[in-house]
Amino acid sequence: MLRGKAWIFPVMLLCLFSDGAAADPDAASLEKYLANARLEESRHHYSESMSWYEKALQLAPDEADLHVGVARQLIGMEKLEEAFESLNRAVQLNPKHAEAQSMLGIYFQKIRNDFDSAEKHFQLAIQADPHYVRPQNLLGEYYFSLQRLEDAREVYERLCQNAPDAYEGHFGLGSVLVKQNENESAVRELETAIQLAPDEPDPHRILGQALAKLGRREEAQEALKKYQELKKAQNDLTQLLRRVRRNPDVADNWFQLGGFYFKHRKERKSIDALRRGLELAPDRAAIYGLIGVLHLHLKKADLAEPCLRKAIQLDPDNPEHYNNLGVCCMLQRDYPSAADAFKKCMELGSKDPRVLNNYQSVLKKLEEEKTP
Amino acid sequence: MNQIIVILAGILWLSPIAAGRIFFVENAKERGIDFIQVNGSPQKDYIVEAKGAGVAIADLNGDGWDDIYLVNGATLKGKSIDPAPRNQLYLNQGDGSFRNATEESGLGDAGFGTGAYFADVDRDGDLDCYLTNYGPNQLYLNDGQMHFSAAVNAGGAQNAGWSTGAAFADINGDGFLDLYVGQYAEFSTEIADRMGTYASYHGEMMFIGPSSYKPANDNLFINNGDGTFRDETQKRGINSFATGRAFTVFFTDLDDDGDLDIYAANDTTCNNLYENNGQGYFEDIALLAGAGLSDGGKEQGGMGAAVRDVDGDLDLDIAVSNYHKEYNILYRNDGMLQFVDATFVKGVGQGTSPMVSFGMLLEDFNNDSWPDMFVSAGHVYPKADELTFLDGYAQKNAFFINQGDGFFQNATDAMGPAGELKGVSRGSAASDFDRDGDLDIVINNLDGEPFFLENRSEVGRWIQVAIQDERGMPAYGARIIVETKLRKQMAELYSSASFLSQSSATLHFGLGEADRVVRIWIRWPDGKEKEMIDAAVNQRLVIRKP
Repeated sequence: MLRGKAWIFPVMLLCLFSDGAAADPDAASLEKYLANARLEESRHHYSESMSWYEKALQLAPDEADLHVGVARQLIGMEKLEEAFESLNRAVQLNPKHAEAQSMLGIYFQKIRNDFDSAEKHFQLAIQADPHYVRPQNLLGEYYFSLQRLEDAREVYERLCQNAPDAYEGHFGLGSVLVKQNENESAVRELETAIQLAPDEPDPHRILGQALAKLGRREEAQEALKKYQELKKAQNDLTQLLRRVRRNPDVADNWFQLGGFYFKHRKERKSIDALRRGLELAPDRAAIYGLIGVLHLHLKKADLAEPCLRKAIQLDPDNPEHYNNLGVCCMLQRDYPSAADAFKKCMELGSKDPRVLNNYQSVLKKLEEEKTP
Repeated sequence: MNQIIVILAGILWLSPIAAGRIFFVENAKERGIDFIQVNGSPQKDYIVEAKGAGVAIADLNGDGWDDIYLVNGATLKGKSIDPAPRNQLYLNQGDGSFRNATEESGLGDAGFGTGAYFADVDRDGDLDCYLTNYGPNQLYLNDGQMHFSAAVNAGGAQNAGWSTGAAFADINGDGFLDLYVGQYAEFSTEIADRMGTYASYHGEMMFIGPSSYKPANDNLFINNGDGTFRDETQKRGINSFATGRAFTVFFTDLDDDGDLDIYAANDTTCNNLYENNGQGYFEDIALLAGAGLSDGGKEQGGMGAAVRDVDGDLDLDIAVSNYHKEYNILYRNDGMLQFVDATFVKGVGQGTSPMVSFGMLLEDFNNDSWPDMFVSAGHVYPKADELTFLDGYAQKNAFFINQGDGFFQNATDAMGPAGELKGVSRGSAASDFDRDGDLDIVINNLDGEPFFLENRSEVGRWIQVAIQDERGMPAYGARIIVETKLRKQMAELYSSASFLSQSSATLHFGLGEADRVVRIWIRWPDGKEKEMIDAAVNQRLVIRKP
């Protein structure tokens, strides 16, 4: 049940050194190094990130978090044995470092096939932080893979209690219950998991299995269709993310990623990706136009307008940009500008009846505004 | 004897009683097998150049000794080498050596070969040859004298594109073999070049991987009754739910309901399990059955596959070989078309993560009565040698001994000299070539010479059974149970095996310490059953459908 890259962890905000940073030059440097390390890590620039972590370690060699940070970068570079050393150093310094223990568990499970050691480290991670979802999920997955279903069930039930809003607990418990033929209960848990993480495909797949076992074949097929749809989207996204990670200097990779997010109604992510592309290819009118539309979707007409005007500047003969600008101005109650934009849109050849409707609406508004 | 035609075709062999150590020796060259596989450019600019090909085993001249047919690739984009790569046929001379009979047979096909499958498609009592290619597939018809000639348009099953695995079985009960052909992806060098040909992989430029190519639809061809085929893919429900990048495909009765289902191992896509509704129409239930993905929901890089009852519960389990950083998966059959990823419970995952596994065989190599697992492996990137986190381009094959009850132990290092061999191995197939009562292995290596692994293990007793149709041809899809006082073993006869390959049509059963076979039960694909009571061990039986 591992999802995504098991070794890549979200960046943890390390705020340990911020107090008094201004007074202590070392603390200020440390804070700067960490900020740089986190920034590079978020961009998957592992080597650069690691060099910042190493600089930080020179100032604070006994800080376990920094060793874990180094380990994450080494894992990103697939230098697993070196990462293992860093993690060992981290737990020597702080045996209750939940993330380090959790990562050591993964190492022993996935790399060494040493399941006893993996189990021990997952348990230590959970003891260190009972609310930390990841090691509990990993331990549950580990028991599940060995068909130790009762053990897995206990872990997931505890996870559901400790972190009821964590999708992983309900999904894991649902998966175990299907194997144990407690399909009604499984359906409940899986439906909860779907509510908590509607874009995750796997709960739909397991739900399909549970429904099929209950004889609800048509519902099962629907669940599996949903699984396929989400899985395809997930695969597509993985491909696009891989492309931008491998070739971050290719604008089209960012535009395609932005287009994917747009299609899946992730407006903010779409805007971020498109803007990254525009940094590399700033003369793409259509992208400005799309960002403008995305801002309109987010009901941020004030942010949309400069984008749409930039699109018009770069591509002045495209009626679509004028139509979008017209809508944008309408939303801001700037009816004169809206009327100008719709009129220009039609002059450029748009036959879309909605443009004419909008234009007429705007003219009507203007007339109304003239009325005392 | 129950009116069965039983031909004692084998020699009695006095084997040691108890199963002992495993010992394989590689000696392809010494046996006269001088084949060299060529699969495009050595540096591998395109994915099709890296996937390699299979090997087919069949007794083509009917002398009772299995012959070897090795599939060759070709060059791409107008490049040529002299002589052009061709598939090669090696006839078993019965004295341990093989003779190249390619020219005289007419089987020296020069297509970009992927797989080869022998079956009597025109029901004239001899084995024909169906070749899957990157490019048009070919069907070679046998004139009965082991002279093969290409059928027009491959009898209607030519199919351009990139075909991979194929399997034969009679799914509509008309007595003629139908054909399932796996398709990999909508790939061409032009498509690859449009995408830039290469992609960065950890800083190294490599050919573009599978995920960038749309999976291609598999095909189900129905035999017209004269050795030609018509395409009934859509009509019979194939590809209706999900299309995968297929490699190895099987017709197999996974729910023991008397009709043949279809299993396809797919690369980076969900595997397919098509349940037969009893009328030869199919529904893909892989996800419902739990046999499509790993338990973690991962679409693994499925390459090869094997179907066998590994835990002695008389239902068929499925093993699929996968890409590196994954694991070779064992789907345990829990009945009612429900499968469980039992990989780690059964020990199959041990040490396989660094391997790029291709060939997958589940056969009893030490005659202890439990099917073992042989996995042929080798990376797809020649630059794997330069990337320290990978396990090299040429890799060791892996051997897992079934400890009984379906628990496997990695015994690669204990299999003798062959355990030290490294190759960029792809398809593999098993047969008792030297008829000494144990199974040998042939492996087709990418861009290299094949391995012939002679089994010199200290083995227990055995029995071999060739299940045939009325004309003496392999009865693909037939099911057999071999029972001794110690245990029952169940198997089916398949036209496909391992990775784009075909193993011997004579099924091999180790018997451990059993001194008699108390019962042999056979069910032919049309449902006819026969039983044989009491048979001696250490013999080869041919059981023909009356």
